[in-house]
Amino acid sequence: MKYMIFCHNGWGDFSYKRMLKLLPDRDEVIVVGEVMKKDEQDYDVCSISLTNMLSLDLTEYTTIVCSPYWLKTVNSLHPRYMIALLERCPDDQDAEMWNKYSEILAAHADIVGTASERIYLEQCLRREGIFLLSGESPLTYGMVNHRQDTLFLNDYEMIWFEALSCMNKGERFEQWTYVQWEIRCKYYVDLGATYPFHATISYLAATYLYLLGKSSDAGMYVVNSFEQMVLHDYLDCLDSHYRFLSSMAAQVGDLEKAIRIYAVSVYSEVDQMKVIEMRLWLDHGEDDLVKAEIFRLNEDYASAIRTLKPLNSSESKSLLRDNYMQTYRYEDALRLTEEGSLSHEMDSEISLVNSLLIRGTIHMLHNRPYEAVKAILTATTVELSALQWLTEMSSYEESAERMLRSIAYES
Amino acid sequence: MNHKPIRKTSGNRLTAMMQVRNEANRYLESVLYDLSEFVDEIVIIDDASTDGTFELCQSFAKVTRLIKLDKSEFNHEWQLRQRLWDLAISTDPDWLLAVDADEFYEDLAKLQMRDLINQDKYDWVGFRIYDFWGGCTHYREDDLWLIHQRHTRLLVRYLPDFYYFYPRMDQHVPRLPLSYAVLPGFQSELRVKHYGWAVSKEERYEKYLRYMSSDPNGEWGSLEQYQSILDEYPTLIEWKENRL
Repeated sequence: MKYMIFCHNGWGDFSYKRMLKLLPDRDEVIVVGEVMKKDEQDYDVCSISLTNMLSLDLTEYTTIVCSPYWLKTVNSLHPRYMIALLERCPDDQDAEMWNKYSEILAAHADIVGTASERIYLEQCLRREGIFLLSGESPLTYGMVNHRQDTLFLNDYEMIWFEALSCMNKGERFEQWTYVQWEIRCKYYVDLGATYPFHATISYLAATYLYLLGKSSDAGMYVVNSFEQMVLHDYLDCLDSHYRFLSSMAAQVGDLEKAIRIYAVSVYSEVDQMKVIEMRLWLDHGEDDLVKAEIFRLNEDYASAIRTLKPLNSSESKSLLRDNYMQTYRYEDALRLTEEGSLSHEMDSEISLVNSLLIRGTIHMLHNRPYEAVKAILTATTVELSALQWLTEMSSYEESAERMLRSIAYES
Repeated sequence: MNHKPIRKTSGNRLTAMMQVRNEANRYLESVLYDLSEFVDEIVIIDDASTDGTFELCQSFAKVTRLIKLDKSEFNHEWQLRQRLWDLAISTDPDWLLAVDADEFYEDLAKLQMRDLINQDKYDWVGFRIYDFWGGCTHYREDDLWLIHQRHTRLLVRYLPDFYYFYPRMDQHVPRLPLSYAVLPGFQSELRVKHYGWAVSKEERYEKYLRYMSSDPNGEWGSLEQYQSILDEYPTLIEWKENRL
C-alpha cells in the first residue's frame, strides 16, 4: 500500500510520526514537502515536491491529510483512500474557517483520527469511522515489526492499525470503533469510582456509555455530572447535561419522556413549535422521526442519520438532508435534493438557491473554480445574500494558497 | 400523548410548602391565615412538634397534606427538605412557594402572585427577605445581615420531568432544589418579612445557643454571624410598606 502525507505546516509539525511505522501493508510512504535526511531514514519515508506530487497518479495512494486546506487539492487527485487527521486550530489560523473545513475534511475522509478527545467525541456524534489517537493505558496490546524495529502497541495504536487494515481490505471497521468506546468507557467509569464528585469524568463516562447504547446506565452519570456542575456554580448546563437525558430516553425508546425532557429545556417559540410537531408525529406513529429529531436536537447527528436512512417518506428525507447539511455531507444532501422527493419544500426558489450553493461548494472542494463561481453567481440572481458564499470561498482559497506556497517554498 | 404545554400561561395552581416545629405559640397561625388568602393548597411537614402545632395546621382548610414526624430530622436538613419536596409534588402543583412559619409576603407580592405564575418565560422567582429584629417595625441591616440585598428563590414552577436535587448538607440547605439555578428566573423586587428574629433578647439568645450547639465549628454556617446574634447595638432600619 502506498501512502502520501499532506502535513499542514511541513513535516516538522507532523505529530503522528511514530504512527507511520504502524501503517498496515506499508509499501512506500511519501511526504509532500521537505523532510530531513535523518528523518527519512528513521521513519522510512521519502519526500516529494509539490510540483512532482501533482504529476503522480494518486489513485494508487492512500492520502493522509492533516490540514483542511489540502482538501481541494487532494480531492481533485482522486486518491484511493483518504485518512483525515484532525488537529485543533493552530494559533495563526482563523478558527471558524479551520473548524468548518476540518469538518468538511472529515466528511470527505474514509477514516478519521485525532489525538484530541474533544474533537474525537464531537466527531463521534457527527459521523462514523472516527478514532482517538491518544490514551492513558500503560499496557501493550500487540506489536508490529517494521524493518528491524519491533514496536509495541498501546490500545489506540492497535485499534488504529486494525481499522486501517480493514479499510485497506475494503472491509467494515466499526467493530474497532466499539472496542475503542469500550476502552474509553471503562477508563472513565473506573476513574469515576475514584473521583465520584468530578463533573467532567462523570460526563465523559455518560457520553461513552451513551455511544455504546447503554443509556440506562449513562443516565446516572450525567445526572451526577449535572449535580456537580450546579454545586460548583457552572450553571450553563441545561442543554449540555439535562437535555442529554432526552437523547438517552430516545435511545431506549421512551419517546414521550424524551419529548417532555426536551420541552423542559426550551423556551423560544420556534423550539416550542418543534415540541408540538414532535408530539403530532408521535400521535401519528412516526416514532422514528421523533427519535431522529431528538438525536439531532442533541447534536447527535450520527444517530439521527442512522435512524432516518432506512425511511422513505418525504418528511424523513427532508430531515435526513438537514442532518447531512449539518455534518457537511454536501454530496449526500445534493443527491436527496435532486431526487425531488422533498415534496413539502415550501418554496421552490429556496430549494433552487440551496441546491446551487451546495453544488458550488462541491465544485470548489473538487478544485473546479469556474463551475463553483458559476453556480454561486446563478444563486445570487435569485438570492443576493448568496454572495457571502463567494467571500467565504475566496477566504478559503487564500488560506489554502498560503499553505501551498509555504510547502512549495520549503521543498 | 398529552399535548398540554409544559408551561401554562393561565390557570396555574399554587401550593405553599412549609416545614414547622413547635410553632403553635409564634406566628404560624397568622402565616397560615395569610397564605390561605393567596395560595390554593398548603403542604406541611411537622418535624416532631411537642406543642399544638400539628392540630393548628389541621384546622386550616387549605392544608391538604400534613405529616408529623415521630423524630425530628432538623439535624439532617436535606432529608427533611427532600421529604417536604416529595410531599409537595404529590399534590401535582404547577407552582410551589417555599414558606417559613415566620414569614409574611408584603401585600403587593400577594397581589402580583398570579401574574408571577401565569406566564411561560421563567421558572422561578426571587424575592427580597428582610430580617426583622426585636419587633415588627424594624429590620436589621449591617455587615452580616444583608440577606435583603440579594434575591432568594422562593417561588418555583414544578416541571415533572426536570431533575431535582438538594445538596446533602445537615444544615442551611436551600429551601428548594438547587437544580432550579440552571433554569431562567425572575428576580422581583417584592419583599418578604421574616419575623424569626423579631423576638425578645432572651429568645434570640436561645436561638444562638441552638445554632452553636448544632454547628459548633461553623461547618454549615458562619460562626461570625452566629456570634452577631448577640450584638448589643445592631443597625436597624424602619420598615415602610409599599403602596398598592
